[in-house]
Amino acid sequence: MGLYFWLRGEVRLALRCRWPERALNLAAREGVRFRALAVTEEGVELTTSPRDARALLRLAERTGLFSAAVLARRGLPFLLWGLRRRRALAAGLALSLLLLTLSNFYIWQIEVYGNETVPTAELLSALREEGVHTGLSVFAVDRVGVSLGLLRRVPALSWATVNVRGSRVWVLVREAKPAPEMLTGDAPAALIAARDGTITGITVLSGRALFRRGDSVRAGETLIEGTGERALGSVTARTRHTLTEAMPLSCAEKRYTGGEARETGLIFGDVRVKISFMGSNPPGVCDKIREERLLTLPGGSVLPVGLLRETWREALGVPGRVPFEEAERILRARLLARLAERLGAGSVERETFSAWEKDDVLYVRLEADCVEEIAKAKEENTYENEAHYAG
Amino acid sequence: MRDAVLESAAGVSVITLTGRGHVRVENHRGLVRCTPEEVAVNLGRVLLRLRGRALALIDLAEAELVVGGEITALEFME
Repeated sequence: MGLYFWLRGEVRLALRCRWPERALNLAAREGVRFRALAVTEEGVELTTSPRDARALLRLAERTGLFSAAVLARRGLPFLLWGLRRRRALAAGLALSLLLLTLSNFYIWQIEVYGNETVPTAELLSALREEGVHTGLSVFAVDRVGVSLGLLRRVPALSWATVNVRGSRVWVLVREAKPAPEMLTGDAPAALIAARDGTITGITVLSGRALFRRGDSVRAGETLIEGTGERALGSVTARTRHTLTEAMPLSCAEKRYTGGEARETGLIFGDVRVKISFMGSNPPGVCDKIREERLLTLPGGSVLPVGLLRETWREALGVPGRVPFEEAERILRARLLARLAERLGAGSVERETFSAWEKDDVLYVRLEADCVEEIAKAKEENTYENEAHYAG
Repeated sequence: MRDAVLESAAGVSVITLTGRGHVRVENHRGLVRCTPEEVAVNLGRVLLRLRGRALALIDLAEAELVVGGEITALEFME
């Protein structure tokens, strides 16, 4: 039964007669609308509104052509009628419905999507400063104004939109991309090699190239010099990177003792009321797991009431040891991440890993042959291949 | 469309068949028979007989009625 029919109320009637078609024609002439018609051996069964059901019953009495019997009554009007003697219960139900309806006009949940580097807490704080907080009337949310305010308060954003659905506000943001470096063009700077390598390609847009394809260069050597104007171009080279990472194999391992305590509470808007506590407060270091669930209606509207559950699990730090293979896998991943950060758009042609253990510390070295862009403006500092972890 | 409006205004029955599962009859003169296998509608001078499977009267008003189900035949009887 749909919500509309439930709110209006429905009556299932059985019309008993020799010619049910006549009864239906009479009903149609009286303006009676019905649905879910079923032909039975004795006549027909149909569902109609309480008003039309009364009209049908009167018609049956008046004409004597058919008899009508009520099979079932469903919906809110009948529910309230059944509660007429239980006034307190009816009043409570009516009050609950009223509060439920009213709660839909207030914001009870704020969610932010689309942020990658800007913390959600910062965005929620900015929203609060813009006046968007739980308990606020949905009609008081100036979506355009809040979007613009959010962009003004958080410069790292390039776009923001505020959506209100039921009692939920969800904000979709896009972060700004950093502006590219502007070339002044007035200083006749040169392009130098960022690292040692063998040149595989050179493109000069402005200035004069001092090396050719196949030449070996050392870090810091000038590749393209400016001739009266700023040097511009691209120089790719085959380079070698040697990176090392280390990790102690002995560590403190977290182990749960089994000590646990649980606390349950209720959420009313911003208020948390704790109602039960099970177990004893574990004496040691604890992991605290907090879970909040707001009641959500089938349509997606969030209510300001919910359940709060906190669990403490006692844990002790015990001496442990990271398995060699696991540690090596972690260090390899770190090395590849560092290499990818160094290369940028460059590519790896060959990579070799070596691992060794010394004084309970695992070392992993990556040697990679790469092809990458090595030209950089002279003003910047060159950086050398690092090898700060001795093998 | 214009013709349909004119016919409707003149009291002529308008029958709209949508696929095989939906028939709307406007300006009818009453339901004559209604079973899951057969629905008969009085159109004045003729009788419209719909035959099929699981036929059901979806809506019945003074001016129009709607029948749903799997319709296999539609015939007019003088």
